[in-house]
Amino acid sequence: MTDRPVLINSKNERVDVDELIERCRSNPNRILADDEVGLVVYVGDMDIYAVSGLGHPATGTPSSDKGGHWVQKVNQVSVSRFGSNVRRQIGSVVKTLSADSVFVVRDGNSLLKVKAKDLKPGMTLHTGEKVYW
Amino acid sequence: MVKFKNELERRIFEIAQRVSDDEVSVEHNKVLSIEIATSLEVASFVGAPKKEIDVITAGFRTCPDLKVLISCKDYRDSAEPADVQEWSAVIKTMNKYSGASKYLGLVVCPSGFTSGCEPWASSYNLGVIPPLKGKKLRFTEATCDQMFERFLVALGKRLQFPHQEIFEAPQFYEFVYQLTEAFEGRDVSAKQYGERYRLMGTGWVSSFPELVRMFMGKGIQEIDVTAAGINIRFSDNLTFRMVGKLIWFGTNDGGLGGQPVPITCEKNFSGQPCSMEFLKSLVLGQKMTSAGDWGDRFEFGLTDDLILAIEPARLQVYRTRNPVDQNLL
Repeated sequence: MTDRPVLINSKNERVDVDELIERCRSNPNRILADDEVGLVVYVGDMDIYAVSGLGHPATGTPSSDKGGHWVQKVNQVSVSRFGSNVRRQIGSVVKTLSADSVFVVRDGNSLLKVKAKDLKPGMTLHTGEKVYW
Repeated sequence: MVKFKNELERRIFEIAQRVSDDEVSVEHNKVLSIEIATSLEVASFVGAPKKEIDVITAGFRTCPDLKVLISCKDYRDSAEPADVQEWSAVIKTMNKYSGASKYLGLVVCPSGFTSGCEPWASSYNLGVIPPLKGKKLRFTEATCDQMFERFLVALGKRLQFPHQEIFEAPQFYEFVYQLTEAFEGRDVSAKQYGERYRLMGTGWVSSFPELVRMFMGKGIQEIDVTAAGINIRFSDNLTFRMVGKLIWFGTNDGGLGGQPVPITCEKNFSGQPCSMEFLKSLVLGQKMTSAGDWGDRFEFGLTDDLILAIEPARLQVYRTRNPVDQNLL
């Protein structure tokens, strides 16, 4: 499976996606979708936070600050079966990204969702990091 | 007898009927009294404050006070921001005057949406199918139907948990997006690999990258060839199976079936004949380090610098260590 999200709990401990999914499987209603497209599980009451974006602009380290821009409580965790990787420099960090990873970029006064494979030089993420290539 | 204005409406209605246990209805030219445009969100409305709409309403027995109002746009071109704005105003009005019931809005337009729709849909918490992307994409009608069904089934389950936040923008928009955005990858993969890759057990369409991710680092344990195809068992109870040009893989499903048959075995790149026992003596126990698909030939890169090539009627093993002439098998 691809597009594995980076998850933590409120204690800033890393949460393994596979273990989380196995916990969810004990209650079939948590499995919102499980098909050839991928898996979506409900985790809204399981103290799960997703680390979004690319982490610190200089080091790439995921922020553990829930009050910051990089960590967000999640209700659903989605794991897609299809995807590929791309290389992009965002901020000062070159990263290998799942092509299907969704980034929020500034577009004038509004925000747009853009997949990693569609990131273009000159775009600016909502976190302020610039896409160089 | 339910009448439909177009084929899209009929398909969406039938899916909703199947998923929502008949808690579904379709209404045409339903008259809504919509606020006169005095605020930004309805500023695009022109004409009389009364608006006639066509709407499919889907509900859930487990959550009778919540309805999804679905607008089907059977357009040749992409839907415009005005379509999203209009449905936003409808949902807002319905929520304002409907008492205890709550409404969520969804616009289905298989021909897609222009990029200008996204700010409106996310700001007003409207779901859109197919999902908005950074570039213009076309999904088939069948894929849009699958997206809608996947979303509606998931929503029915989601509503069994606390869901107040789903009414806060852009939570519902995000929910629909999360349930539908991965279809692009599946369709791209199906276009790229056709029917070649399938997962054992489910028969789901798969891809070369998924095969590589699953088998990387796994060791070959046995090779069986029968009249039905070639079966290669790996560690962790995984199986790779070539049946004609098709490749099935995944958790071992119990066997290939068919009577054992001999198969041409060759060694070295030049293709010198060898026995199956010789080939097995080299590759059994080796772990996969890479893979390649040449269309009619699949290759596993293995530890010890070995390549195992699998074709429907031939197996070949060779070593890639240099110099080649000093490392022949």
